[in-house]
Amino acid sequence: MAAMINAKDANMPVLTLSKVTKTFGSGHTEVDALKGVDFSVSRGEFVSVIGPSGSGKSTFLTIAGGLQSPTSGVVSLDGADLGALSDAKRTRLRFEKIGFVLQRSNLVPYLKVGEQFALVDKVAKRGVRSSNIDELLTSLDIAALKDKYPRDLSGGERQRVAIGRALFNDPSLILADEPTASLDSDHAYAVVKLLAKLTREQGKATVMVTHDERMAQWSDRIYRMEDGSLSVK
Amino acid sequence: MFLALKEMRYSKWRYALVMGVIFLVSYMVFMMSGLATGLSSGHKKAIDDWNASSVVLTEDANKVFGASQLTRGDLDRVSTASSSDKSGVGLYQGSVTKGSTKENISLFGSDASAFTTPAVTQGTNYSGKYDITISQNLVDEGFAIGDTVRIGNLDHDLTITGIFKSTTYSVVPVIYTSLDTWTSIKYGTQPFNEDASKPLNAVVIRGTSGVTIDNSTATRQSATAERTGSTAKLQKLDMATFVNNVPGVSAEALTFNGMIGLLVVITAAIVGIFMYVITLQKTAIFGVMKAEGVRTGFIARSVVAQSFVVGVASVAIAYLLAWLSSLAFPAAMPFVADLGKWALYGVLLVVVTVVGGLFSVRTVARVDPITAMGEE
Repeated sequence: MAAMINAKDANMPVLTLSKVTKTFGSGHTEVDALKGVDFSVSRGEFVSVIGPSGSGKSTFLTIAGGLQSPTSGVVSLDGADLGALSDAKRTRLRFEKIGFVLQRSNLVPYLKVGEQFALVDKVAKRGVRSSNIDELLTSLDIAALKDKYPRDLSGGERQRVAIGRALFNDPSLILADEPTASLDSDHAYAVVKLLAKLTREQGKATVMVTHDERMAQWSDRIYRMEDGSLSVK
Repeated sequence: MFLALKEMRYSKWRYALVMGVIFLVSYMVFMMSGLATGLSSGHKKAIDDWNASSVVLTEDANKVFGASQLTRGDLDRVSTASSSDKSGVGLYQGSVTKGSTKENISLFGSDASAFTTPAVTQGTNYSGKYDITISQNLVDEGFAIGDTVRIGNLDHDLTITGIFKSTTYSVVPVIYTSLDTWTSIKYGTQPFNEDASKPLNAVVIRGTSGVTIDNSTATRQSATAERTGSTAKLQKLDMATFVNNVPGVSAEALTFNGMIGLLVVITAAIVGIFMYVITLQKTAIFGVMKAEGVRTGFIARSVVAQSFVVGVASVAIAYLLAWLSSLAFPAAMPFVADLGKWALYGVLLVVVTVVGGLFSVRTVARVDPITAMGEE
């Protein structure tokens, strides 16, 4: 418990990866996707990881998000060692502590914008916090979209809603996987700027993976992923 | 439930299609059940009308009403709590003629005062030697109180004195008359030495207390034994057994139950396939939801809840429409809306739709959240 409280303090890392490796396959088909990655991000920090496709950055993100286990090394989130948790506990941790913003829209196609948020409350087995939803939608300037389906939104609007939903559960960590891949430059910039701004305002730790170096300009730190090795740029 | 209902609202047509199919199958199940009950009732309604508890036939009749031949004397071998709790009944199947009108009928011989004799709703019960009463459905064919008719080989006019409520046996209308008249109709002028040797087809019993059969005087011990002058062994049957052996009843029930069973299995398969295909199309978003920390159970429950909602709604509509249809059917149609039985089939259909939905749970469980991220 003590570790979790400390993690809330500024400059305490929210997410750390130490000596993380990931190997796929075996024998002569063996591929080292990650080769001893050390990484950490603290509250209020917006960190970018850039690299070409196939460099291992998605593997890095899935391991950071507890979606798969590293071959070796330790991943800890808010002081909890992900490797030591059961699948069920890891699922719970993802739900409570991580907000995801994905490349393909991660909105549920058959839920209206407001219901995307209500779903979070339903999964959390609590009453729908309507006023919180309205507040968040207003602060992101998307209140007018509340009763629209994702298919009726532009790409930029969709990512704003996705960012809003990632924040709705008040997570410690935000993982963004190519959040601008489906957007034109102007909208892409706007989305990254929003993400950076909210990260600082709300004291989140944000990791954005992108292949587009221009998107990294608002980051506090930029890492480069190349052939499974991570280095500060 | 949240996801289940929201998705059904979003993909109205898709779910309307699934529901339409389940509705049609359920409607067909109810219709078949109605026809099965109707037909079986047509075969044996006159027997149900007795409200009897058991029937005594000769053992060598192999439980078949018409094949059983005992005598009025055998009535004494059957003891009941009160003598009015047993009634000797005779059956004759043939036709009734009035002028040029001829109808197939089942004629029962039964003492005017016996409990097996139906109460008249119009006119009076039979009392004279050549009196008969007819069921209401014969009135619809042009017969009326006061009419004189001919039945079988009897060389005498018969007079209709009363009408009782519609009923059938062997899917034809029913006529009742006294045992004596029935004997004359069925056996013509052949002489019987005494009343006790006059024939009967069955002894019908109401109530269950104090019912015993005396087989000590039975001299006919095997089917190959001499018939003349021998006394048959008696056998008491409960009504379910007796009715099941009414010609046609059990064969029809088997046919219809087979069809209904098949439809229920088909429903499970249809729902299973539909839900599986729909689930497959949603694996991408399920992967995203799982990545975000939504439990597999939450998603699986929504899939199962969906098939439950789909099942309940379509079966309920089918139930209602089947009942409304039954009101519109002509009286001649052998159809009985047995709402209790339908409710049972309805529950069964809902259960199989849920089972169909359960097939997709495995698919949901196998979606890997890692698919939500990256293209590497």
